Amino acid sequence: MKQAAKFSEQLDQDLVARVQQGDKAAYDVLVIKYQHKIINLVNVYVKDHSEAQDVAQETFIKAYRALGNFRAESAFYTWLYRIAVNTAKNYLLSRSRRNSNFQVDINDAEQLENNPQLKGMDTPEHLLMNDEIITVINNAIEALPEEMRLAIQLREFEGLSYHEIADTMNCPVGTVRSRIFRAREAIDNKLAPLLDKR
Amino acid sequence: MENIHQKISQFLDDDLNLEESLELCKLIQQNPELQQTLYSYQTTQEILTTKTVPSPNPNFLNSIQNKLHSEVNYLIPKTQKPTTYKPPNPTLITTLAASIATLSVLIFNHTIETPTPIQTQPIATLKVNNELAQLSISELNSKNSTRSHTQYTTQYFKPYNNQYFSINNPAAFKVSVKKANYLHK
Repeated sequence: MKQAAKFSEQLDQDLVARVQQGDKAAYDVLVIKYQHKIINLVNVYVKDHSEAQDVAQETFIKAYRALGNFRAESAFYTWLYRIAVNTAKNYLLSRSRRNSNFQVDINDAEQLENNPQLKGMDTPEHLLMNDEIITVINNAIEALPEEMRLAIQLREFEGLSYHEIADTMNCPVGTVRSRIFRAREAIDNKLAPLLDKR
Repeated sequence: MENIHQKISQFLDDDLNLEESLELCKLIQQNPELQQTLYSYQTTQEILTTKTVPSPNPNFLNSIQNKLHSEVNYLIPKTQKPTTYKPPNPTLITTLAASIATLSVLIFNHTIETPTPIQTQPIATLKVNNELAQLSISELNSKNSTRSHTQYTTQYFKPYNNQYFSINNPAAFKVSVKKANYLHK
C-alpha cells in the first residue's frame, strides 16, 4: 500500500472512531473529504446532477446510520463506496418502477463507471462547461514553474505522499507542501471565474 | 487566510492529523470563502485523478447535517441482539446441560480431593501411660428412627505420647474411655 493511502486510511479510522463515540463534527470531516468522490461515483449511475446529489446525500446518511457496526475490516472509503453503489442501484430500480417508460440497465452504469469519456453525461451546456474546466486546469498546470508542476503531478497522478515527493524531488517536506499549495492556488485563480458561472 | 488555504491543501492530501482536520473543517463550515477554496481545490483534484467534473451542491453538507440532526442513537454500536423471542436451540440446550454436568463433577471431585480441615477440640483428657484403652463414642440426637444413637467403639489402642483424644462437635457425642487394665478386671 502506498504511504499516502496509509495516512488517509489512518485518518479515516481515527475519524470513524470519533464518530462512533458520538462526535458528529468528525463525520462532517468525512463528508467534506469524500463528497466529490461519492457524487462523481453516483453520477455515473444516475446521470442526473440533481438526483446524484440526493443519492449521494442518502449514501452519507445510510453510512452514518450504519457506522456503529463498522469494524474497520476494510478501509472506510471502500465501505462507503459499496454503500454508494448499492444506494444508486436501488435508486435506479425504484425510479424505473415509478416510471415504466424509463428503462435502466444497471450493467450499463457499471460499464460507464470505468469509462471516463462517458461519465457525467448531461446537457450539452454542461458538457461544454466541463470540457472548458478541464482545458483551463490543464493549461494552468502547463503554465506552472517546473518544480510546482512536478510536485502537483506526483501528488495527483502518482498519488505519492508529501514525504515520498520530498524524497523524489530531494527537498524538504515543507517545500513540497508549499509547492503543491502554490500550484493549487495558481490553478484556482484560473478556475474560479468558471466555477462562479456554474 | 493564506495559511488556512495551505491547510486546506494539506487536508486534501491527508497531511493534517485528526485534531487539525476537525479544526479546519469547523472553520470551513463557518466561512463561505473557505468553502469556495475547498471546492476549487477538490474540483481540481477530481479532474486530475478521474477526468470528470464533480458538482456538489454548496449546501450538500448542511442538508446531511439537518437530516442527521436527531440521529444520535444510530451511533451506538449494536452489540446487543434484538429482544424478539426465538425458540431455544435443542443442540444448544444439550451442550449447555453437558457443560453444567461436567462442571458439577469437576467441582465435586475437587471437593473430595481437597476437604476442608475439620476443626476439632478436645473433650476428654486421659493419661493412659502407654496402657491399652478403649474409646467409645456415642452419637447423640440421632434422627435415625431405627437407631436411637450410633456407637463407635475403637479397638484397644495405645495413645501416642499420652496426648489428647479429640472429636468434632463435642455436644453431639458422648465419649467414654476405659483403660484396658480396667476392662480386663
